Formats: sequence, C-alpha cells, structure tokens
Amino acid sequence: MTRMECTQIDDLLMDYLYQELAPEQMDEFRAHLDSCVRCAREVQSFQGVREKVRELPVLEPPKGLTAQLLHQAAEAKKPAFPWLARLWELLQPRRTFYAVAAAASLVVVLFVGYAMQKGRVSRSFVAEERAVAEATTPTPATPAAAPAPAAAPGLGVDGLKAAPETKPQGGEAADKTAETLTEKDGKLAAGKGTAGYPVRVDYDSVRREQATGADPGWDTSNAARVADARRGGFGLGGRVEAPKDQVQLTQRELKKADGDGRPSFAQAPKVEPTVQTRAPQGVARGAQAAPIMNAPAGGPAAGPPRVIAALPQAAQAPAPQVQAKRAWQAPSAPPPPAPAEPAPAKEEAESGYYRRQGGGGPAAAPQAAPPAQARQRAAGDSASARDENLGNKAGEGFAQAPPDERNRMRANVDYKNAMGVGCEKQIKLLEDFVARYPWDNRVKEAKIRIAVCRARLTGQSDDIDAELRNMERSRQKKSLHEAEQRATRDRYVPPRAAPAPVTLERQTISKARKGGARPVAAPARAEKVQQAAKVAPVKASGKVETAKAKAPARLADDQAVAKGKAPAKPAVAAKPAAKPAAKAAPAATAAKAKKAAPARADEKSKSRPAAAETTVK
Amino acid sequence: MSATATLIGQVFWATIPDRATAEDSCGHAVPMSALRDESDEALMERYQQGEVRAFEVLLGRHRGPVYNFLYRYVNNQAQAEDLLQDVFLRVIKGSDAYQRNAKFTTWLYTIARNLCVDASRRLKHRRAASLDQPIDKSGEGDGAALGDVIPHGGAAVDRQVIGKELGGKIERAISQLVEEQREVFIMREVLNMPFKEIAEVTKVPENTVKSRMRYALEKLREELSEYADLAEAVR
Repeated sequence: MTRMECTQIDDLLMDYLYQELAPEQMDEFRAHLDSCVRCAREVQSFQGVREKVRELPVLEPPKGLTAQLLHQAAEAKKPAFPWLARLWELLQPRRTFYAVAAAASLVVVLFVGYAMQKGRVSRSFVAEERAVAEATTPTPATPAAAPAPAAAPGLGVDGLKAAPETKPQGGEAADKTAETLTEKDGKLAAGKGTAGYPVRVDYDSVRREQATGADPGWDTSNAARVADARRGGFGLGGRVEAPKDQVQLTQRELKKADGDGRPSFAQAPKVEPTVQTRAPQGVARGAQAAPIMNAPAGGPAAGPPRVIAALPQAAQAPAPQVQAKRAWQAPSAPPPPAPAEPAPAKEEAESGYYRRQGGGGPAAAPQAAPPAQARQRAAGDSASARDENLGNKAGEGFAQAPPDERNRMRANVDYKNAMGVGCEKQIKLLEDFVARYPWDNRVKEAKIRIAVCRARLTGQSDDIDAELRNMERSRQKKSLHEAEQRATRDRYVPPRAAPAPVTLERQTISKARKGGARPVAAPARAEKVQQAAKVAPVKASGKVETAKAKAPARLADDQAVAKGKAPAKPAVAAKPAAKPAAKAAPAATAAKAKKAAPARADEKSKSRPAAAETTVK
Repeated sequence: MSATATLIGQVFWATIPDRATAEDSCGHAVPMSALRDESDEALMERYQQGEVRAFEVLLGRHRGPVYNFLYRYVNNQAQAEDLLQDVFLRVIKGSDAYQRNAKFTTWLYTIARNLCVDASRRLKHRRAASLDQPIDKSGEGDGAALGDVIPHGGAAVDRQVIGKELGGKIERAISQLVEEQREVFIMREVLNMPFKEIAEVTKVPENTVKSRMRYALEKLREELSEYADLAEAVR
C-alpha cells in the first residue's frame, strides 16, 4: 500500500465523506488521516457540517397537491376519442380473436335460423343425400319386378312406410305400364331437363282417368310434359303441385334452369324424400299400399328411373299415371292445366289468339292455319300460363284490354321469354313469335336473331353477341341518320335580314382615317355619293343628305391636299386626314392652310343650309 | 333474434377487459403492492401505457424528496408547492417522451432544477427584502437583519429552541450559497444523490460537482462556526 499525500487527500475528500471511494482507497485514506493531523481536522470539520445539515427537518408536501396531481394524470391519459381507443383495443391480436369468434358465431346462428325458417336446409339432409346416392346408383335393368327394391331403401329413411320391396301381386298390364313409364320417364329424366326434380306418382288421377274411360295417354301426356319442360314452363305437366314444405328455387335458379333446360343436380333443391302411404282406390284387398312419393328423378348422370321402381303393381289397379312434378314451381304461377284438358281458355277462344298462331296480324289471324296438334297443345299450355301471369300482374287491365292490346302484351311477354335462352330454344320461340305476331315491329329483329342463332348452331358464327352488337350498331346508326335527316329537313331557316342602310358618312370617315383622302378617287367617290343618295330610301334621307352636303366640302379638301394645303379644320370628316398632309407640307404652307381654313369652313357652313333646304323641299 | 343478438353482444363486450384494471404486459391484473415493488422506470412505462395507478406510486415515492429539494432551493414554502405541482405536471405531459434508458430520478430532478433555475431568475428581478439585509439601511442601527427579528416561536434557551435556532441558521446559510453550490449541496445532502447523477442533472463534469460541493461545505462551515459551541451544547 502506497502512502497518500495530502494533495491526494484533498482530491478524494468528497468521495471519502460520502462513501464513494473504493475499499482500497478508503483504507489508504484512513491511514493517511491517522498520520496527518491537518487532514484529519479538515475531514472532521466537514463531517460536523454534514451532521448539522442532517438535523434539518424533512418537510411533507401538502396532501391536496397529490389528489390534484392524480386527477391531472388521469385526465392526461384519458383518450381523446374513447371509441377510437376501444377500437384499437379490439384490433389487438388477442381481442381480435374473441371478436372474430363472436362475429362468426353470430353469422352461423343467423344463417341457421334463417335457413330453418325458410326450409332451405332440411333436417334430414343427410338421409336425403343417402337416398339420392342410392337411387342414382346404376342398377341392372330388370323387367318391372326388379326396380322396386332399388328405390325403396332410400325412400324409407324418414321412418315412413316405404314402398314394397317385394314385387306385389299385380297384373301384366300394370307391369307393362310401369315399364313404359320407366322408359319414358327415364328419358325425360335423363335428357329432357327434368333430371333431379321430384316426380310424383298420382294414383288418384290415374284412377279418375281410368274411371272416366279416358285414355291414360301416357305418351301424349309425357310428351306434353317434355315439351313444357323444354319450353321452360312451370312444371312438367298439368298437375304439378308444390307442397309447401318443399324447397322453392329462387328466381335466379329458375332462370338458370330454364335457360338451358338442364338444371344441374347441384342447382336442384334438396327435397325431403317424403313417402306417403295412401291406399289407392280399386286396389285389391291384400295388395300393399301404394306410395305417393316425391323422389329425385335422377341426376345429371342420368341414373336409372327411380319413379317406376317404387310403383305398386296391383292386380286390379289401373295403370298409374306418373305426374311429373317440379317441387320448385314458382308460387306465383298457377299450375297449368292438365294435358288432357283443352288448352285454350275461354278468354283465349274469344280473342282468337290460338287461331292466329299460323301467322298473320290481328286482322289476318283468324284465317291462319292451325299448327300441329302437339305443338298447339304445348303452346297452349305456355300461352295460358303466360296469360294468367299477365292477368296476375296487370290485374283487370289485361282482362279489360281490347284484343289488340292483349296481343301486344302477349307479344311482349313472348319476345321477352325468347331472350336469354339457348339457341335451339330461342329459334323455336322466335319462330313462334314471328308466326304469331307478324305485325309486330320486332319481327325483323327476331328473324335476324333466328338467323344468327342458326349460324351459330351450324358453326358459321362463333359469336352471337358480336352479331347482335353489329345489328344494334347498325340500328343505332340508322336511327341517328334518320334523326339527322329529320333535323336537316325541319331546321328553321330564319329569313335573311334586310341589308342595313348604307352609312356613307361612316364609310367615308373610316376611309379617310385609314389612308387619307385620295384626290384621284375623289370624283369617283362623289359620284358614288350621289348615286347612293338617289338609291337610298326616303327614311335614310337625313344621313344621305348629310353626306351629300359634306361631299363638296370633302371634295374641296381632297383637292386642297392634293395641292399641298391642309384641309379645312371644321370639316370633321377630313380632320384626321389633314394630319399627314400637314406633316408633309412645309410650315409656310401649313400656315397658309390655317388661314384658308376658316374661309372654307364658312363655305361649308353656307352649303349645309342649302342642302337642308333641299331636303325639306 | 334480437334477444340472440343482445346476448352475443354482451358476450362480445364481456371479452374485452376493463381498461381501468391494472394489467401487466400479458394483460393480467397487477395488485398495488406489486406496483410498489417495481422500479421507477417500469412504473413510468406503465403510466405511459395509461395506467394511472403507476403514476400514483411514483408520486408517492418522489413527492417528498422533490418537495424538500424545491424548498431548500427556493427557501419558500408556497413557491415550493407551486413548483412541486409544476414538476409533476411536466412529468405528466412529458410522459410520452420519456425513454426508459434514462434514469427516472435524473429526468425528474432535471425538470425540478430547471424550474428552480427559472424561478430564481424570476426572483432576481423582484426586489424582495432579504432576510440578511439590515433593517436599518442607514447603518445607524444595531445591524440586525430581518431574519433575526422574525420570531422563531420563542427564544427560550432550551434544547428545542436551540435546535430550531440552529436549523434556521443552517437554512439561511444554505440559501446564501451560490446557486451552483446550493443545488449540488441539496442534491447530495438532502436527496443523497451520487455525484455522478448530480453531474448528469446539472450537466457539468463530476469533478466540478465535487469541487462545488467542497466550496459549499466550506461556506457552511464558516457560517456555522459561531454556532459550533451551541451545537456542542445541543448535543
């Protein structure tokens, strides 16, 4: 350990007093204090002062200040926009999770509630899916007896009584009918656009037809239904009923389904496979109950016909009539009449609407030849539905409208229906339109559309829209041209205004200002003035006479300028012209001109009264 | 439907914790006792995030020393109270600008010192009577100062009275120190602040601080020398 000097002690004194020295230095310092009296006394004196200072009381701040400061602190940290702060908190990751979870649960609850209320989600959705899957499974085609078990398992999932699995005791006729139905409905389901929609077997109607002795007409009725389906009408036949508990398609789905005539299975509504057990009349005792079922009639894969698979085969039962049914039939559209019923309604018969189908306008319609029977019937179905729609929309306006107006309304509806469909269907609809309403102003357009559609079908035109655009463009151009022609023809051409009276004075002044007086032209100008005075009407006599009166003076001025003299100053018309002349003339000449000016002015003033007198005369 | 929405809304808002509750960095509530154990810097950081209770702890921890510093500096109680309020108001307003890498006390006493300097500058323009100024300006009197005339609660010669008298003399001697020496002396003696931190507050080198401290002690030793015997008697 080195011994500290007093100078070092002075440097380290404060650190020693306040215990900020390192331990080694502290020991050295203490050793030096033990040996040095002066340093020890110095340190002792400072420690005495410190001890006295420590005796100073510690003051307490007023407590009111604390509360006030806390209030200020809270106010300072209070957000200016509490909602913004809350939103910021919501955006924190941890809280965002809660918010998103709550929002998602809310959405789910609302969706489920809405769907359950509207019936869009069936509670037996899974069972239905299984039923559809089983029903669409291809099964070997077996004659009449085999199809029954194919559809039965899927249809009995809801606990309802399923169709009989075993072949019931039935006659050969029933089997044959069932077979026929299977084939026809299978075609219908596979290729005619009814796939995926439930078909209902209505035994009651079959029995009624049997009792009335009417021909069951399977072929005919099915054809009508197929035609109806192709037309995109409402329902596959006349006896379509839409149970309330079944799903209804939205307008968009309907439009899409009707557009190509082949609604996909995914677009098709999920329908509960309801199987109702009802004992058909006339069925022999012991025969099993025949189900009235709503079952999917096949998907896009065109599965086997399942409707017939569930048909009962009673020995004495009449041939069942399959009534294709679209469960998603629009509620506003009333069920079209049965195919067996006469198509034209009373109102239509009055207006002769269907008799005009062969062509011709309202006047020529009654003489038109009727089209084919089936086509007429099919057209009758859609037409009656259209008329009922019109009646529903327009109310009594349609019923009370005159026949021509009704036809126009029908034409509008038919043309509108022909738009937005496939080419084949559009051609057909437009041909009908042209045939029915040859008097309509859209016939030409319809023909063009038909041509375009045909061209497209044959591959000649790949873009029907381009054709239509061209057509629209040419139409617009034509209308524009017509409008221009009309505007040109009717343009208002105002009568040409009479020429303003010649202000000779002004002309003279302006010429004098521009180029000064020209002595050579002066006589010619004077002659012009005289001619103008002769030609001018009496009304402008004042100005003309003024000009006439000024003419001699101006003439004199011009001559004076030509001689190198300044014109007379009082002559207003010649005043500007005098400036360049005066500049050009020598000073003496200018002085002479000044002297001569009053005399000329006197002459001019004398000539004016004379002219005035002439005018009065 | 509306009842469901109301219920979901209540659940939604219930997931949002109350902002008035003190929370740690993980969002858990922190009791007040735990706040008292935290450092000044941590408390200041909490207050920056809007936790007023952290500021309450800070205020309770520093209001006394700051007040004593201010009082010893300006030697006026009312002015010290005003300055105390100003100091903490500046802390509140400047809390957003505070950075944790700086020591809170350094920041706090820098604010206090700046305010004191401003106050003393303002006082210089006032012609206030000094306690040490002789009452009789003509010099004909006995030379008694104003501070000697002001009663100190009685002149009985007992221990308490001697102590009070000594205390008044010490306060007077401190107030007579040069401003640079006074602030260093107060920080070192009253606040027990290390020389290094004093140097940071006053923005002068540490050795300068020490020398100022030594001059202040020497000055006080001179002032209190006449009370040395009295001090011995008090002891």
